[in-house]
Amino acid sequence: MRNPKAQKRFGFGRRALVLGVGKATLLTALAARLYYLQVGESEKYQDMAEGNRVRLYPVLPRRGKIIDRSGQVLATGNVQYRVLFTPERSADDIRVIEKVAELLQWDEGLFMQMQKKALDRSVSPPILLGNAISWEQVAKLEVHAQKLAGVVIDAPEVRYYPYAKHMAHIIGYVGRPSKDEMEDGPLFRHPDFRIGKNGLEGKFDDELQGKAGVRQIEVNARGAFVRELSVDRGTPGADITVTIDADLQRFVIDRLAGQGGLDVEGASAVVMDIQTGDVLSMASVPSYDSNQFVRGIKPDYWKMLMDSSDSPMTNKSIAAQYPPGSTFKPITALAGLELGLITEKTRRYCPGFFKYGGRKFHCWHRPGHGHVDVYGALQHSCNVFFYSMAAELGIDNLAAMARKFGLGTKCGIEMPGEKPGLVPDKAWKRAMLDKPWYNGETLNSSIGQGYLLVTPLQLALMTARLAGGRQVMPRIILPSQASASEMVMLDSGQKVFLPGEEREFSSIEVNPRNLAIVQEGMNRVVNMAGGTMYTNRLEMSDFQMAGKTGTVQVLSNRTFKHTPWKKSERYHALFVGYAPVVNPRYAISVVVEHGGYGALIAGPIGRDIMQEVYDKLGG
Amino acid sequence: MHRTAHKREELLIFRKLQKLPFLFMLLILLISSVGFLLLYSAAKGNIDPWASRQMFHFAIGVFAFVIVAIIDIRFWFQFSYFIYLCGLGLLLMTTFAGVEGGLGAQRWLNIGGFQFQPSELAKVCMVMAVARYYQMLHINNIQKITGMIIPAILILFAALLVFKQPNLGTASIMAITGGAMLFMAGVSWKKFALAALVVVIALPVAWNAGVIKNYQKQRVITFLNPEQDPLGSGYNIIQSKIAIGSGGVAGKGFLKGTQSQLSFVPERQTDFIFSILAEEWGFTGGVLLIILYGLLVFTGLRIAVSCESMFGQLLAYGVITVMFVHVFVNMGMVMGILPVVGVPLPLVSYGGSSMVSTLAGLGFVANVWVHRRVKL
Repeated sequence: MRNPKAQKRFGFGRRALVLGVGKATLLTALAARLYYLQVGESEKYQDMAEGNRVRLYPVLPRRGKIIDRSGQVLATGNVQYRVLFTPERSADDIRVIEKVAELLQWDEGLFMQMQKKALDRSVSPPILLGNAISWEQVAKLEVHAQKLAGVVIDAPEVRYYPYAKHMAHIIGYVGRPSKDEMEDGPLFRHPDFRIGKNGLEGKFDDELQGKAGVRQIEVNARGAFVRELSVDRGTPGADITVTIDADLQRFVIDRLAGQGGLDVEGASAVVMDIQTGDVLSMASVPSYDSNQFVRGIKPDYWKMLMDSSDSPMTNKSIAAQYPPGSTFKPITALAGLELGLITEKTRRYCPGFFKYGGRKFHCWHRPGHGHVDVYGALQHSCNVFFYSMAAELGIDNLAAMARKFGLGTKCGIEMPGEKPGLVPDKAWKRAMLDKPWYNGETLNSSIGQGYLLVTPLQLALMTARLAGGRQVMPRIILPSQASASEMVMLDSGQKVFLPGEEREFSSIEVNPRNLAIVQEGMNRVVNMAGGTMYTNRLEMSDFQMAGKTGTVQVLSNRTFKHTPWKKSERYHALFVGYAPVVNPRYAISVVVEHGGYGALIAGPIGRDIMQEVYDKLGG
Repeated sequence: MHRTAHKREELLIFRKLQKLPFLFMLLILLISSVGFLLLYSAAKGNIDPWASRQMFHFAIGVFAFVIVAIIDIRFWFQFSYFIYLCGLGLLLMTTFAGVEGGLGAQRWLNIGGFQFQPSELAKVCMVMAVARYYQMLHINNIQKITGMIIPAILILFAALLVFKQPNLGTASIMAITGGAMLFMAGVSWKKFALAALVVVIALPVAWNAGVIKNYQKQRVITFLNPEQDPLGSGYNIIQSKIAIGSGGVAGKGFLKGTQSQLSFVPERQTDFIFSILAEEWGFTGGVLLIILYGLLVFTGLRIAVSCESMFGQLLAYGVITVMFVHVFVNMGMVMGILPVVGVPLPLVSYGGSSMVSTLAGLGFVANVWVHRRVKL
């Protein structure tokens, strides 16, 4: 019998041997790896380290273009030439700078400034000697290349927006990454690297960006360029096609901006295809010059944008919310018809006001409209007709109808910053204001005032649904065959279709007869004498327009009576419309902030835009 | 009577100094000297700032080495658990009062103006505690699963605290060393197979459950495919491989390494110092250092086996294993066969904490040699 202690020691020795052999094996493996690197692969690495030495520079991928539905380029890269200099830290440096100064015709001040920069060792090379230089200057420098050691001319792509002012809110812009974003890696610290900051550039930055490549540069011992060893150009970003028609967009922006007469600045309009939901134009004025942002915005331009009371940076089409005013009346009419509170024969008497709960609710037409049916109520925009059924209708039924037509929630357009608007109901008021709902408030809501808020995009969507009777959804990206799979991933919950494939929208759950009554009412607004839009109708037999005007009180009647007619207190002017009346194809919404009366200000704009739609895109 | 006892004590210290393992110490000196030369080269042929201070670290370390070696092994044995707890305490202090070491890692502790990394100390503390446990464990219980519970807790608790700092490299080294010690103590093969299985299953879970930090993941991903991110984390590996590969058989010569001299290799004085050696001294120099380490490990293992107590055996073996794993992980990382985990090359990489704690740890090996016949 062995004693336990001896056995313990024996075991230790044997296991020590096993692990000792294991350690020896691992050390041998290290030696083998060293052999592989230093003998087997040595030549390759010697090449890489030779004459010194490889440096890696990111190669920025070409950023994807943004193209309109007809193929016009809305965002692209423009090549700009610039001069970079890597000082050799020798006496030659000054001679090189002098030569460049002579060729580029610098004045004394610039020369001194550049010389200082080039000799300052705390500035890490390369040093930018000239930006956006002309082709002639490039040629001059190329000719004297022999005397310009360390000077490199490169041609980075600079983002360029051909329709800067007309597309700024849709496209957005690219800019330098912020300090936080620079932490994301060396690529983000590259001086030419830009990321999408706003609009589609921001929303689809990952797709447009592509993947950066790497350039392996051989430099000499002083860090100057010797030759390019290899270059991986990366993967260019994907192009994006938008549903916008650039020509139409330009017309709409110019029409909105060129208001003539009144000092109106803030306005917005949306044109939508009723069949597909394609947003053909989405305009917001005042606009801004997105090209100013690409190279870093100048402080005074930024200050001007920030100080403007008309918030030029805001895309009013999706981010500004207004009471819909009378443009909401078709919804109230439809709700009343659906609940059987009125029929097309129901007539109400309008003496110019409606008494409810001891309060007088006024019609906009003080003398009154007399006896009106639902057609007349829409045609003349009679408030009293809607007041008279509002209390019985109730806010919750009205809200449910509004939601069916896309109000109160985001439309899900593929853009950042969309606002949801507001469709109030009893539960909302209880939750937000902790107060009960009063029927008097339903009267206000029935004519699109009170708490109701909509965006111009929602107004266009509402109109498209009223005209088409289907639950159309707006979109601003035209899916292409190549990017269709990616698109599905991007829009959470929103189905995206391949081109050529008809987008399928289910019908809105309302009685088609009732919808037809409302559509006829909207037809009479424009095309029957006495309608609020009659003077602004389209007179083409194959392309007539239906619609509804709206004038939104910014202050209550009582207040404005005693105050001067100042811009900030003037009514908002609204118009919604669609055309043609039969088989509708296009829906439109126009909002002019503080423009005055909808029929006088917004209506004519809507007519002109629709005329342009007809001329550009056909009936 | 009092005087004679005192005299015997003095005599004992002198005797102990005579019994120190001089071959072992010679190897340590040789390896450290290679480090001094490399640090001189890393500073472009200047003794400052690194080589001079590293020699100073070495001097302190040698002092610690001798002190650790001649203190009676019975003292270390008695206080093993206490020292282990002190180590854990320091780790906890680092967590709450530590100094940020970059990348959100809290690894440094500031005591009396000196900064040091308690995780360096924790490795030795863990080794001592495990060795102490197995000395006391009855031979019949080694194979039992119940006998494994306490050492497993000793290892995992310390490793977990280090991991939380977060210091994945050191935590892994502690876990590997602990495993090797259990094996040496006599735990059966089957249990290791089982443990390996658990690790294989747990790794993907830890990966996805957010236990492993993003920068740690990035290192593993970069290691698997350095070309994927040649400007970020992959840069170190690519540049290091260029430095090593371009060294060839004979090397470019002392102070002539272009890659390391021109600062292409980052961290060249600390974690990537081996690339300077491989570039300037070539395959010859690299293999020579590997052989020196091999001899050091071999000598250390001889000392472990020669000891008559289980505590001494496992203590020496554990310390040697810690050092060996450091060497392997560091060189593997620099040569691009292991991920970059920020582990220094023992005795060579610049750094006071690493140098002093490595030497103090190796002092325990010498201690075991001096006291190899002491019964516990």
